Amino acid sequence: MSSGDFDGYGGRHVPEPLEEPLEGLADAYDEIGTSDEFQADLRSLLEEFAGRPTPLYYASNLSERYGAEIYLKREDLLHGGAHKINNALGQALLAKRAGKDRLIAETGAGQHGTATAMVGALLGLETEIYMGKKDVQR
Amino acid sequence: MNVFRMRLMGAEVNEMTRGGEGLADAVDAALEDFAQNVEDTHYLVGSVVGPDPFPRMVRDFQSVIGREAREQFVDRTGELPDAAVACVGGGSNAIGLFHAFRDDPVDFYGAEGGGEGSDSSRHAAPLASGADDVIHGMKTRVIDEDVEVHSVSAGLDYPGVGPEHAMFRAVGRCEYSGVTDDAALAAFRELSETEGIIPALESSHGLARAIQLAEETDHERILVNLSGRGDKDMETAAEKFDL
Repeated sequence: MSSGDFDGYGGRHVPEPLEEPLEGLADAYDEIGTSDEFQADLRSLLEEFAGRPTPLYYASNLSERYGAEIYLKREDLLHGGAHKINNALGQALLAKRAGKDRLIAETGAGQHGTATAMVGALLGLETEIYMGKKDVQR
Repeated sequence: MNVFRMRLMGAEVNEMTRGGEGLADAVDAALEDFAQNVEDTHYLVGSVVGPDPFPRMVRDFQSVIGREAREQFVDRTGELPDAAVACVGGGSNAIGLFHAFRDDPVDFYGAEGGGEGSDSSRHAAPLASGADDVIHGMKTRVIDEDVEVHSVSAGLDYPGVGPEHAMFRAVGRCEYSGVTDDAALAAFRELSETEGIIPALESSHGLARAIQLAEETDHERILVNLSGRGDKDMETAAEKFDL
């Protein structure tokens, strides 16, 4: 069972030419991405570039209205306005360490594309975003 | 606004005019680009989807959300939440919140894009209503063929879902349900009015589910991932609300 297996879900169902690069990425992640040095650098970027930690907010008005304590984890306060930056920083830092010089990404609402553009600019990586026309318009 | 922001920061933005012109088509295009440029290019997948190692790698990078939230919650209340709630498109903000609580007695709730209803022909809720299939390099849950993928929020408008969520559903660790466009819009407006916080339409789905839980269950402490802000959704909201 590979580590990408979630009780029979997941896996790597891709055309043959993608097998090797994905294996290479998995190796890079397991070796570089989990190292203390990488994690320390990522933590600094999450704090100084993205704005972590985000607050835990007690929504007192909403809680009073519905009779339960409702708490919000405020990922909306991160740089770019969404949680997407957590992942974009991690992957872009990994790509840079693995010797890549170009990032591509898909985006729906544009939040992930924005996060990718931010980290591309930050780390000096060429960046190209794919977005559906329907989503560009809304 | 987001397209301009991306271009301003030096990124090239490609508009996809094929298929449904949505998120799934953007993923297809990015996968093709990746296949042709693997030497110098990294495909920065934006959610816990796609072939290994993306689902576990993105989960690990997003797990900082739950690690912080768990510590903050215990510091503040002296206890754990009864429930953790998040919206699920691909599912990265949800997995990111849940992971730190996975061995705790905390109930998980995933709010999918219910569109016009998860029993209608227009939704984005493959966990509440879908079947096992392979999409974008992973085996997971996918919406049925006769369903048009639709959600009022572009970030949830995706026919598949991260494979770890498919597993959570199968083993009963998390309860998934579709939150309709209308319910999400109501929560969007309610948080704006009651707390002075404008949430993203995506996050509004999780918030709507949390409000349902507060009304219908005995959960006393509910933790919601407010995954994004709603500035990008002003035009959509302005069309829906007559203010």
